Amino acid sequence: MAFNVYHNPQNVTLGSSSITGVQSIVVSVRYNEIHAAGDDDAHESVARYTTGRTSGTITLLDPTSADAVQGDNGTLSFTWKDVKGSTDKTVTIANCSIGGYDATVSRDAASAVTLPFIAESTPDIT
Amino acid sequence: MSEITVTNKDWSIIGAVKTALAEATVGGSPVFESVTVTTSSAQASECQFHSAPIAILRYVTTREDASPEDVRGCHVALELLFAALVDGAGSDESARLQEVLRLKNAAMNAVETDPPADAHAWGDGDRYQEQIEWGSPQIDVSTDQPWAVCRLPVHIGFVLDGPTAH
Repeated sequence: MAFNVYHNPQNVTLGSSSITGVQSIVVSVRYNEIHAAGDDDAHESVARYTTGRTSGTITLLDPTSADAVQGDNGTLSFTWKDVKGSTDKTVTIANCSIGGYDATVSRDAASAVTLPFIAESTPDIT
Repeated sequence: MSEITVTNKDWSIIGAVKTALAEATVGGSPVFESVTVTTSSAQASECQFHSAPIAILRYVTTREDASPEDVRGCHVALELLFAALVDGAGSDESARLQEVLRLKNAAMNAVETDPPADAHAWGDGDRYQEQIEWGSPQIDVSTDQPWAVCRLPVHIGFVLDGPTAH
């Protein structure tokens, strides 16, 4: 099979702190764009990506776990499980800062938390 | 005439589940006296006529879904049946229910401990299949007979790497 599919993020840590009850992790890597064109150009003569930025969101069930790491900095690490059970991946994002969080605790419903992060590095996937 | 190969993964999974149930022991004793395979619901309904706990593995169907690059995400649907004779149960069904739940939980532990080698979770943009997906058990301990019977559906996922990998 020529492609991989992953599921079930596990072993989520920020530095030495475990982040528990994680349901999903969104990792976004975006590059800023630069565009330019001369007066007589029919099409842009410069269209390039420049500096990149890494950000994302951790969605979890455990509000106390989110509260424990809010405002912290460190290396964010977690595992992607290979659905076929062959080659799992470890994702490491250095110099990661956890922002605040949105915790929803409702009547007759499971708690839900979103925990945003930004980082000064690109994800290292091994 | 073309030379082909057959992996027969759905059968391999059935065989592995049968082996896991047949070889399961608690305290050194087998959980089930026998494990048989059938496709007949009628045959399975007569599984209670034994004096020791037995398991019957009923094949229901195999389903496959096309995924990118012609990979096929599949599952084999099975129904596991367990029966045990519990004497002297009377109108109180506690003993029969306790025993059939024990058999159901033992079977789940046996399959989860030794999952079929070909069993895998799978997913694409439309669907996600767990490696082993248990359904809700149907239990009948309320008949006039002293046998307790449980039917337990299970879907087991697997992957075919292409349309000629069946």
